[in-house]
Amino acid sequence: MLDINPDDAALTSLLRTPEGVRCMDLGTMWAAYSPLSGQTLMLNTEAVAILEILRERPGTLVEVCRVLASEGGHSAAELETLCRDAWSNLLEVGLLEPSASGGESRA
Amino acid sequence: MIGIQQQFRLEDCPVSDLMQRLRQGRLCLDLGATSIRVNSDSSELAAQLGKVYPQHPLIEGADWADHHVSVTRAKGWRRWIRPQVDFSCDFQRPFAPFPADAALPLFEWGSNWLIGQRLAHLLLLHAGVLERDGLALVLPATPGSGKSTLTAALSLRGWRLLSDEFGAFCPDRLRFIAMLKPVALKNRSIDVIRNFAPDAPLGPSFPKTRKGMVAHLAANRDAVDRRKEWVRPGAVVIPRWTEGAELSLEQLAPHVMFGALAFNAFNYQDTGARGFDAVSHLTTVCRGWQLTYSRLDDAISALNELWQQVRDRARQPFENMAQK
Repeated sequence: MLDINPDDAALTSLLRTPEGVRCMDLGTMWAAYSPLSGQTLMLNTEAVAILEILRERPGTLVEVCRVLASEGGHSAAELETLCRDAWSNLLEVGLLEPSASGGESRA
Repeated sequence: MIGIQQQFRLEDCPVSDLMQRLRQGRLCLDLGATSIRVNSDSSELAAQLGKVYPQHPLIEGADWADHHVSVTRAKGWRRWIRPQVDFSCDFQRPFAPFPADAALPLFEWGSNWLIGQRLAHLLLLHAGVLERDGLALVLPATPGSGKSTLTAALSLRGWRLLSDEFGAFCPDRLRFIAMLKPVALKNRSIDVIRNFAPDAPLGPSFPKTRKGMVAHLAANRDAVDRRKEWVRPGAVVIPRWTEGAELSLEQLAPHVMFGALAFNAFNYQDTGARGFDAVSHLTTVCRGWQLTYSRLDDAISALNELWQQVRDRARQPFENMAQK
């Protein structure tokens, strides 16, 4: 029997930043508001970078990490490990949502 | 349209007259941001309202009030044995009855609850707010941090009181407005204010409420007369009273200020994106400090000094925007 973890499924899904997500620069941190959940969260810059990338175009975790890696610093594989939890959390609080337009992926 | 007879205030009205108005549901309290029409058969409430809302105007012929509440004596045995009063609004009785002689704390508690539930067009910060030089000082706090004591003390030293409990901020105008109710002082803070200002207009003390001993400080005439004036945000100061502590005033990181405003507010969740934008605006235009103090006089001196900086900064809005 296959043991499918919904979190793992989310990691390979094509996600996007919902319309109406707001981000406010607070220096060392950011406040982000989700119109889907009505929640406000404090985020670090890396998490906001994910939102901004997916605001422009839907993508998977792998694709987003590839974009972030191209900006320097870490390798895509390292970033994937670092961003794994954030990815699931952002989806859970409505700062990301599944993308209906799967064909728009860059992969 | 509300017809205000400026020459008549609650303090000018004999208790018997207030009682009659309460019985007929004709007593309307205009708090600035909202108004409450009160109906009651409690003579205790009539006397107590007269003591803690003395400067509020007697409004004749108000054809609109945002909230219609009743504080009425409980029926049946409770009319005679350890009498009680009930709070109701729109046929709902959200709270258990209080002893009849504690009608005022029940009215204050109930009306605060209503305001927190219903005024969705304003962001209601859990904060004391005072005005000086046209700018609002916002004192967000958790219970027990000394917010009400400091708010009361500042209002007795020339700062104009807008509210002790609700920082009523309009997301459209980006200004504060008064929610002018008496300052609710609890337990030790009652004597602290009595010693600080022996002439302070304190109402009766109510022992054994759910929050312990409670007494209310009345707003002064200037605060009441100017309750409709909108006020620009000035600064955010999170007070913390610590016994024996040296005074300190430390600048807050913006994310701490954002959290103190948003996550303490009564209706932040309900206001959605408007609330987020409002708090973002406050975090952008205000600087924030953490004030730790043990002596009220020291705290007030520090805030008076700080206000010079706040005022100077507010005079250079465009420069500040550029720096941001």
